[in-house]
Amino acid sequence: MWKKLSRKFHSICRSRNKNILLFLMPSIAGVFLFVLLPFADVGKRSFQTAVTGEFCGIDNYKVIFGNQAFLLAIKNTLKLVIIGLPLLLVASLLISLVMYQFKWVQALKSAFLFPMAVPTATVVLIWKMLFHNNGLMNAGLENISLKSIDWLGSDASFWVLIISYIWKNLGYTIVLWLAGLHNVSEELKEAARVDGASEIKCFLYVILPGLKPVLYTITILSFLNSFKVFREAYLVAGAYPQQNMYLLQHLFNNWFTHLEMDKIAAAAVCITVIFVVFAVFLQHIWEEEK
Amino acid sequence: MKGFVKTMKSMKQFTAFLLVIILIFMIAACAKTENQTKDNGKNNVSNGKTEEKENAKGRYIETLVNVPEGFTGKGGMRRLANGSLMIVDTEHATKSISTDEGKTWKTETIKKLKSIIEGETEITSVALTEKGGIFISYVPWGKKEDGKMYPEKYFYQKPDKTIIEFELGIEEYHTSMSDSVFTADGRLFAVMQSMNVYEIDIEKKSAKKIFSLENGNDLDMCSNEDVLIIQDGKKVYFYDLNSGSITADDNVLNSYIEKQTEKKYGTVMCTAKGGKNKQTLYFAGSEGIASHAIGGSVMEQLVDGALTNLGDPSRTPLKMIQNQDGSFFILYRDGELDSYVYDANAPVVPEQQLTIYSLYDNETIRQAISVFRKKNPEVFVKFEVGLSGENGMTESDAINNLNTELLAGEGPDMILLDGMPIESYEEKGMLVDLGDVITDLESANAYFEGILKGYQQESGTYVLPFRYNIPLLTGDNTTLSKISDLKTLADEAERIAGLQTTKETVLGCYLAEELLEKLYLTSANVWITEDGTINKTALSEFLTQAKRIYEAEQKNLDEKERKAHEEMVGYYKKQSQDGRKVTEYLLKSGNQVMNQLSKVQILTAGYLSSMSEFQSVTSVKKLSGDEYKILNGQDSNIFCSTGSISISKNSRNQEIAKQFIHTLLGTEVQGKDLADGFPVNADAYENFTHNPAPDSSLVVSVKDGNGDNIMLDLEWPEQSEIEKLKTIIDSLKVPSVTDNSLKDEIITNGAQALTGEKGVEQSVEEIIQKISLHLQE
Repeated sequence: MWKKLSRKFHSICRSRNKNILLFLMPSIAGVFLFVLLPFADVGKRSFQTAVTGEFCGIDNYKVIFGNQAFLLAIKNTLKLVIIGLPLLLVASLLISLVMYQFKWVQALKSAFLFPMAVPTATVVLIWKMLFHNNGLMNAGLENISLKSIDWLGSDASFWVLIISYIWKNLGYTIVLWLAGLHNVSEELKEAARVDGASEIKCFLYVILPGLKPVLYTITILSFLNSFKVFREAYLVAGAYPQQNMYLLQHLFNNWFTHLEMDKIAAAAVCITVIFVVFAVFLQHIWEEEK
Repeated sequence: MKGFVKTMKSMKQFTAFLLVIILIFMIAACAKTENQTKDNGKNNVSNGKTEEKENAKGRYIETLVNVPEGFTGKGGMRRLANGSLMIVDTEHATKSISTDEGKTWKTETIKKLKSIIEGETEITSVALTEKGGIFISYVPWGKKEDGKMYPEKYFYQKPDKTIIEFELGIEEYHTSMSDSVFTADGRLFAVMQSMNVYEIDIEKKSAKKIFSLENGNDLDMCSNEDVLIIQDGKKVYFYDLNSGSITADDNVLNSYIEKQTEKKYGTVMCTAKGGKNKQTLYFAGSEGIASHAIGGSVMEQLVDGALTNLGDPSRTPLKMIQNQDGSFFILYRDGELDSYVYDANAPVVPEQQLTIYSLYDNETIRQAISVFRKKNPEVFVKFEVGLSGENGMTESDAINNLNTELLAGEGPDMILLDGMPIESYEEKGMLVDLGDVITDLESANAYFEGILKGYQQESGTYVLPFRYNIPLLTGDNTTLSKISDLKTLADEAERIAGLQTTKETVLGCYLAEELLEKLYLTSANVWITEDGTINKTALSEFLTQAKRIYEAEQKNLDEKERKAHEEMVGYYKKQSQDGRKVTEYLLKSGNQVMNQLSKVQILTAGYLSSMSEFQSVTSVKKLSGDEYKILNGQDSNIFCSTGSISISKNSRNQEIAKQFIHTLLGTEVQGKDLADGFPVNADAYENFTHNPAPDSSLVVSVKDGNGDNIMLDLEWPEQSEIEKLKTIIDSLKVPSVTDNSLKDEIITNGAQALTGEKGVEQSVEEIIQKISLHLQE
């Protein structure tokens, strides 16, 4: 990967238009100043004690991996990503494929961004109305003669997270898929159909490969958005929700309240490593496919 | 074409160059600002000086003004037309006049008043004229007449000392005066307890109702040549003296007055001294002195309450006047007269600054600040309240904000740790060891050792409690003798509820949450083991015993009564901005103990936080023979801290902070009962328990179980009771758990076990699941 980056950098330097570098510098400087440098400090703190700043080796890492709350938060966050992410990608793709057939629906696509524009506090009120013991969801269940569920106090709370995540991101992901679908060559699809390919084959062998570039972006964005579901969870169920709703951000927030900066730093480094590995893995697959 | 391409290329290069220059300029500008801030920070470090107001000058300086010897502060004050100052003392029946701004006073007796106060008389209001006339309204309780609820009488001593005596029979003697005032041209106005405003004609001995006030939360009156001004704690009324009409509401002023009154009663006001500013009003309250142009859109703060006696919770202003030179005189109810004179060369705030942070407001801290300020005028003590109720912040938000500052090496010098994660601060080394402070304190005074060293650890003492509540159980002696812990309390509750003669509840706790609140603090310590896990057996035992008590409570409880109580609690919580206050009220022994007389409950389990509450307990004891003892739960000898202070390790003013602790735990501050807990200083206990009004008596009427009235004399506790309470305090040594997040989980989930919605074991599992998460973190 570094070789590739280095090659790209040299090619830019070699190119006649060296002004590109000049234009890139502010952005690179910003990332360096406001992202990389602070993260280097976090990395340093992960080997130090919280307030006194004494070097403590890998003690903080040992502590967090022996910490049940951290392991639970990791488990729940991964579970959310593993279940929520594919569900979101598949559901949004299917809807966008249907919508792509009806050009007039696409005119309404900005309306799909509405859930992202709704303030979190408002969403939380709706969630409370929906998932309260005497809320709308349970009223619905009782209407069809099913037993009501303690949505926020039982294992079902995890599905509140999933529903929340999908509701909030579905519209946005649909818009991204639609943009990707527009980029798939109409001529190729036409040619496949002329050659006698069925709609399913046309989707599998023409449309889907054409969507691969956008798949990478959508996956990374949806992965990042899965972390944002914490806001709703925190406002609906507080700092200590039902165990299945307990995410990494709950833990970070509570650690901060107790001044556990050493643990926060170590955990942040671990999460970043996981994220980078995930992103590189995705990019690797993408590059290979290309 | 070639030329065009060349021009475009140069344009691009120029644009790129320009963008780079702009970027460099912006970075340099940011860096400069940062450096400037750093430099200021350095000054702050080296001198401990305030940051923003470092060079700003100009402040009103408070100075004590001499008053006649023995002046009590009960009466009034007025600037006379000839420029001299007159004060009247209704306790000593004297009027004093000073022609040299308080340096010397000429005092003479008001003979008529002296003859009046010799009997059993209550002075209800005093008004003074610019010419030296004195109007006094009084109720001679000793000569009570039939059909007159308030047989109020009046006299007016003219400047030439002739007396006019009269009665008005306002509202057929069903009310008395709350306040009265003379306008500049000698018209007299009065506000009655009924909140009606009257104009009194002394010559004709008649009264005419002019309008009514909407509230009666607070009261003060003043006037200028054209307008009579009255504030009732929520609203300011302007009565046009010429047209007799009330002018439109001044919303800015109304909202200011409402805010002031919510914080503390006793906001006084005065009009500007003539000239161009006659449309300006001045107000003095706990926040300081503020001015307002009538009908204007702003309140301008002239004096910061924190820098004067106005910020002292134990001091309340009685009258305020503005002098010809723009300075002010404020007469306090305790007889102190202070002047506030603008000094253009004085720094806006004193040069040194000590910051104290607390999640919630604290009366004793404010009291200590006032005492400390007098001893150390060069130090400005800033009290920051995290949850003021105005910023919509939660406890967790406030703690996170504080932590951000602490981790940046900044933050307050001192922290009140109530409601905060004390253990985290201790473990992370954020706090200063106060071992040397304890040694110094103990060499100067005697302290209740168990409480003072309640937070002592092997590594040191980082937290010092300065106020606490006492868990108390009251009831008949035989029952009390059988109760020693939570289980025996449950045994007795079941036994009492099962008796055929019992018609009332046992503890008067109608709601499961209320009961758990009462029992939580004396038991919570035993649920958490030293290794940070939950003792499941102990928690299960707690809920089992609490459920037994709850069921005993419900046995003789009428559903209607329960519902009404629930609605009442809900209503008060809704009305009150701070729901904690409603819960605190329900937990207080003094408020609950009367219910024993009314046959609502047999025992009272609660927390004692002031002498007036103890007065209720001992008065009930005197009437009914009921006793009291320390309330133990699963743990024993618990004290519930209502104020614990620490010093931040980041503080650059640690020595000043230690001096402040000396003031806070000294006899002067500790000796004052501000109804927020008992003193830790044993030497101050005598002053704390001293009867503040030995001559006054208070009788309350309580309905017994048959609907008959019982008259309860609220007598000050006898010395033997005060000594007994001291013995109880001496035995307290274990601080109660302060972590509110733990309490919320126990109460929310535990209540479901008590009401039977869930089994005890299921609730325990759920609590453990949630708390374990908390503890595992």
